[in-house]
Formats: sequence, structure tokens, C-alpha cells
Amino acid sequence: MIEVNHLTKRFGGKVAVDDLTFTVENGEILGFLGPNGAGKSTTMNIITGCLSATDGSVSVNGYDVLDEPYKAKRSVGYLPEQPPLYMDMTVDEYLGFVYELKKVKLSKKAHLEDIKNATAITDVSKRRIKNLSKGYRQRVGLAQALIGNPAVLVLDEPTVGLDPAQIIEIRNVIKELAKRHTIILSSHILPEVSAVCNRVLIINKGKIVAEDTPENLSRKVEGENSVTAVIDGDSEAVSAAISSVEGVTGVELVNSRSDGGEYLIKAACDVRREVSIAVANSGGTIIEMKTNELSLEDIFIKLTGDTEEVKPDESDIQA
Amino acid sequence: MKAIFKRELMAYFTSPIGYVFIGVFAFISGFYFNDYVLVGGSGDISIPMYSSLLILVLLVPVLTMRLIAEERANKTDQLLLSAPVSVWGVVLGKLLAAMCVFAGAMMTSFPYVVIIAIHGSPVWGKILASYLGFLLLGLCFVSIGLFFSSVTESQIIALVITLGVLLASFLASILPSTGIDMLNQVIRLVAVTERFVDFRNGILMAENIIYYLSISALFVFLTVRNIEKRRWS
Repeated sequence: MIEVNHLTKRFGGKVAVDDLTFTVENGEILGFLGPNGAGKSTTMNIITGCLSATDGSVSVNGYDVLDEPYKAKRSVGYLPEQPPLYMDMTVDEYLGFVYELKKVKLSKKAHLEDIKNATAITDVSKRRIKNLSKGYRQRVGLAQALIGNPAVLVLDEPTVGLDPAQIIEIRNVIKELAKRHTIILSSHILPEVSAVCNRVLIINKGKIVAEDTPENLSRKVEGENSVTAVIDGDSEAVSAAISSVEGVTGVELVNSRSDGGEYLIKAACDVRREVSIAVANSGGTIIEMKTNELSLEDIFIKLTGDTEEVKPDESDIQA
Repeated sequence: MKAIFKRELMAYFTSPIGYVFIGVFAFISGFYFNDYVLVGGSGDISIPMYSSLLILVLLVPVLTMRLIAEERANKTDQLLLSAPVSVWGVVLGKLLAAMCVFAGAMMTSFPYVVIIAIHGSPVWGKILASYLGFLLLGLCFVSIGLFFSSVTESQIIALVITLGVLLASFLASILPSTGIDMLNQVIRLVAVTERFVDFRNGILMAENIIYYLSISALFVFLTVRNIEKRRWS
């Protein structure tokens, strides 16, 4: 569906995308993961024809974006990082404009109604876009990308800046869309990508660092299983009990709280059950226990051994 | 192109810009008309039209400043560039929308023609030539403004550069002869408003029409190239 061949983009002397090659199959959801400035948006801009490549080629739906730009563009719906909205228009006016701009042949009224229902914006259709909340604007941006029923959707950080409830909503909309479209989705948040994508492409500094299914990727970085537990009880006995569990590679009391000690447990595999039993046998009580999500940073360190360049925003990782 | 044209025209009238442009133009050109025709007792509408040229120099930059600069600032250009339309279509659609507002402002002077027709003895050839010249000059100004709107993301900067260029061109037309032949020719080439004198005198010269159309085409071409260049940089 999408073929990217030896794609390179230089801005002056700076290489933004460096010899990128990948394909996306029909019906697939590809997650594009990387820190800010990795080249995600640049690649997406090239696929959608907003930017031209310095070298290499991109074809969408069998059409080269340079040789047959109109045919290629007709097969793509694009939601850029900042939704391209005209603030002085109402939602209906805006969607009508995009419909005409894309020269869509489908029945206008029915098609736009369908899209408004799919993105749940029917109730704001008469309102001016400048008066909408960020979540609604994002959905109007998504609606815009859906006009003309393109085979491919390119979504650049579709959930950035939304509150948790809106993130879940948009994710559900995307999952629904995945049934009829091939999707490329970019993000710098790992759980988001693993929640919706079949395949993940991790890029850093314009190069592919890893390419696999979310499951395989987490298997690759296994060993970094870490659990945080708050345990009430004698710290020495508890530590000893946890250490004796098979697979545990390290225990550390990181914080003493009023309701118990906070321990960081590192292990080679999932040890939550065993730890729970061991702690109980030692006379301690587990107040809470959770696995620590692997951060993008951890994955990068695992996959590249490169710790210097990756400085993702802390708040984003926790989102 | 049609979709762009419709949206731009709508944008002129959902924001105050369209009303301000037409209103201010009508007010000041009406002032001149009152002065020359009603009080001065002349039946020649080309005199107040010629005087209104300075208003155009000041107002056209307001009309054109947002055309492309705003798209870039709001990143809506990504929608246009990823849509199956050519950059030419986008630029021409915008040009046409701005020209419609311009023509709307120009039409506010039609009642004066009617007044002259009733109470005076109009020279129809002169009147029609004046209007044609005015429209062509407007096309030139709008194309120049369109181009400078494409070189920056800031509407204010687009406004100031366009104003500077149009004003310089206007001043070139009232410059006294320098005595150096070469320099005179260069000045005549950049003095866009000077050609209007022939039109207001009722003289339709192919040279002048081609001149106006060429200047407009040049700036439209430069605008398209400038947008495409950003894609490649």
C-alpha cells in the first residue's frame, strides 16, 4: 500500500531523514515511534506530498507521489501534528470546503454525515472552529482526513495535547477506522502505539532503529521487567524474601512511606505472583504493586545503547 | 481552484477585511468625487479615479497580506499541499477572490457615473478605458501583494513590504525626469501607476495592457515558485 524506498531528506546541512526504507501492507496499522525531532513528521510530510524528498521515492496505492501526485494524494488522508483548521469557519463550512478541495465524487450530504458520526462531531457542526475545545478540534482534523474515503490515513501524533478521556476516545475512533483503512500513526508514547498498532517502527535521528510487532519488541527488551511495590513489614525480612524469589535480580528500598516501604524490584521475568507469596510468607503485607511501564527511553537504551541523544519529555512518557 | 476561491471570498467577509477595504475605499473615493465632480463641476470621472490611486497603494496591502502568510502561520498550507490540487490552482483561486473584493470596491463608484450621465455629458470611451485601466492596475497591485504574502509567515511584514513596494512604485511615477535616458527607462518600467494616465485619457495601448498583464503574471509565477521552493528546501 505504501512503499518508502531509500528516503532521504536534508534541510540545508542537517539530515532529517536518513535512507529510510519500509513498506506498509494493505489494512495494516503501522506505529511510527520516536523522540521529538526523530524525523517522524518529516517522513509523513513527504508521504503526503507536503514536502519533497532530497532522495529516494515514495509510492502510495501504487502511485509515485512525485510522478502521479494527484492520484497518490487522492488515496491519502492526512492529519498533521497541528490540525489544519480555518478558525473562522463553522465545522460544516470547513468540511464542505475540504470536500470540494479534494474533488470528492461521493454524495456530499451522506458522506459528510457519515464522517461526522464516525468522529462524533455532529453536535458541534454549526459552531465556529475557533470556539471548539482542543479535543473537538482534533476530531474535526480527523474528520477532514477521512473525507473522500482515502485508502490510507496518515495521522501525526493524533492524541498529543489531549486529556486522558479524549485520548481514549480518539484511540477508539482510530481502532474503528482501522477496519477500513491502512493507517500510519506517529507517536512518542509507547503504550499508545502498542494499544492500536500491528507493527511498530522505531526511528531515531532519521534512521530505523527497530521494526517489529509490539509484542516482539517488548520481548526484545525483556529483562527490564521492573515492579514497584509498597510493602508494610520489616524491611530486611521483606528484602530477603523478595531476593530469594527465582528471577529477581535486584531489590532496593527506594522510599519509606507512612504505610510501608517502597521497593523497586528488578527481574528477568514477571515475578509479581511469586513476590506476593514470598512477602506474605515473610510476614509482610503488600499495600500496592505495579509493573513499571517501559519508557521509550528504556527501549532506546536497550535497542541502541545510545543514552545521550534521547531526552524525551518526562510528562509525555507518563501520559 | 473553485473551492479555494469560495473559501477566500467568504473569509474576506467573515473577517472585517473585506468590509474595511470596500468601505474605506468608497468613503475616500467619494470624497474625491464630491470635490472634483460635484463641487468642481467637471464631468470627468477619471480625475477622482486617478486621485484614488494613492488610496489603492495604502489599501491593497491590507487586502493581500493574509492570503498566504496566514495559511503558513496556521499550518493550513499542509491541507492545501496534501490535497489533489495544483499550487497554481491555489494561487489563482486566491488572486481571483482578492480581485473580486477589489472589483466590489471599484463598483462603488458606478453611482457617480450615473450622476454624470444624468447631469453632464459623459465621454463613454474615456470612462470605460479608465475602468479597464483601474482594474488592470488593481490586478498588478494584488499580484504584487500576493507574492509578498508568500515570502513570510507574518501578515504585518507582508503588509509593510507590499506597502513599501507599491509606494515606491507610485513615487517613481511622479518623479521628475532625471536627464539620464537609461535611468528614465528603468523608472518608467517600475512606475506601475504611470501607465494609468493613458487609460484615463481614453487611450487603449496594447503596450500598456500587456505591461500590466505581464507584471501580474510575473508576480503570480513568483508566488507559485516560492511556495514550491519551500517544499524542496
